[in-house]
Amino acid sequence: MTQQRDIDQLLDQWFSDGPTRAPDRVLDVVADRIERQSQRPAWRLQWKEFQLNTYLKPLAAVAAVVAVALIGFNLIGGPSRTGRGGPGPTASTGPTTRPSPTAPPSLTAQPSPTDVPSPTNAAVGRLAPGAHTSRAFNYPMTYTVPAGWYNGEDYPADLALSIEAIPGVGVISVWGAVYVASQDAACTESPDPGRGHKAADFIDLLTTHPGIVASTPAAVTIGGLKGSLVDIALAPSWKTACPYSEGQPFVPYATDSMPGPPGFHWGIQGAGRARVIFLDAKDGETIFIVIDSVDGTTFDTIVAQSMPVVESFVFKP
Amino acid sequence: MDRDLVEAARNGDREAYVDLIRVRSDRLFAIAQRILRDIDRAEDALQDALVIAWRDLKGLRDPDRFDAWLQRLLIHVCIAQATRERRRTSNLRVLPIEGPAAPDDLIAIADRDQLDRGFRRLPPEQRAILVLTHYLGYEPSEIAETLGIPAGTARSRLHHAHRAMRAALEADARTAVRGGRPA
Repeated sequence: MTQQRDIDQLLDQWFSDGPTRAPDRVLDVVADRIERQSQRPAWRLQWKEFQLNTYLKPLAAVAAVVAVALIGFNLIGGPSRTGRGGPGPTASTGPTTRPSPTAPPSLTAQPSPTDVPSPTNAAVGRLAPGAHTSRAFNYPMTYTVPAGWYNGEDYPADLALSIEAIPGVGVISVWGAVYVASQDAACTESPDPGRGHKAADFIDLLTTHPGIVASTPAAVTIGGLKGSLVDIALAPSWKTACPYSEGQPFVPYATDSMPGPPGFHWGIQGAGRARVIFLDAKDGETIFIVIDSVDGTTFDTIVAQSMPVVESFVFKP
Repeated sequence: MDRDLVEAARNGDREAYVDLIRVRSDRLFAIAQRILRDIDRAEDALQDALVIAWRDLKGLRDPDRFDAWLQRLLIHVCIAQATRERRRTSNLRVLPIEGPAAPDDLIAIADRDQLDRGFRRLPPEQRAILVLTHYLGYEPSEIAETLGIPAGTARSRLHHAHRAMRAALEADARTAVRGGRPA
């Protein structure tokens, strides 16, 4: 098998080859094109910097009007975001369970002013405070965020939310139709044929695996779906690596139903800590929510900020 | 200096904008070519990205972020273009190289061919992640910020991209052995 170091070196060398000069005509063409291209006003682009997908462009003007109306509504004393009940989830036990605030309806799909299409990722980008609806995720859902949240992925297979103040760090990932990952020595990216794929099957693995330190599982109901929540970290005594983990101890625990890459294969590694929630979906599949702190140090902060968002999830029938 | 140019360009100064992109176009073109593996398409993507950047420049609130913003824009244009191209060619089957065994002095060329085939099979976003990693030397957190994805996802996709590239190389090697052509 080609080793990681080999592929790294090969790719480093391969990419270092190739052209490094743009044809002179590029600048000429661009100069000509921008002569005929006016700039868009800034008010249409206020979150352009973070959003490169094109959706609902025709609604741009309407959205702007609604935004102005919402601002005015708030200024004249619209309902507060706090203290309003809503269809939030409940957790029977668990470290962070609190009532889910429900914000007044907001622009769930803000228009992007750019022409960069992205046919697969339907993410919104920077999120306005309030309620939002997934666009491409196979398990349609709504979620409510305060200011400072970002939707970086909305694919059929997963939806990801992060906190802008923690740049580049994935905070909440939601995956549909997950399976317990094979526990063979090769860390095969396939479902474990010896296990089911209900929420209880994941919890059973995580609470009995010698490589994982897990909290006591808590029963939860999120967005109308029942399941379990558990906090996990890699056991300090666990030294087994996967072929792709560059010698670092690793325990894979979730994957998709398709054997082999590319696809979804999730595990815990190094000092990372995660809160994982498995929900039994109505179609017999399992929805996997993970609140991930890659280095573990931000775990408590991330969980505290993320749980109200997770608790706001509502999965549509 | 560049900050002044960005400010001027934001205020509609086309000459300032061309001055800005003149010193950046080589690097951006190199990135686009490596993602798209095609000089003509890279040129198209670069032109499109630079025109879109001009059009939307007023939306860039911090002029100091111009480079990161422009690079992110280009990468998304490349991903979108590669996605469209991938759809058009998805029914084409990539065939192994035919012909005599490569002599030792051509092994590097054979490797490049295998890498190219494996790379073209990857989803566009994974291609971009490999370029960001191996050409620009980005860490997963920087990749995540550039692509607007969680760092864990960047790691996962980088891992899958590496796996896919390894698999492509190994599959080609097996094909060569089965065909009686020792590597």
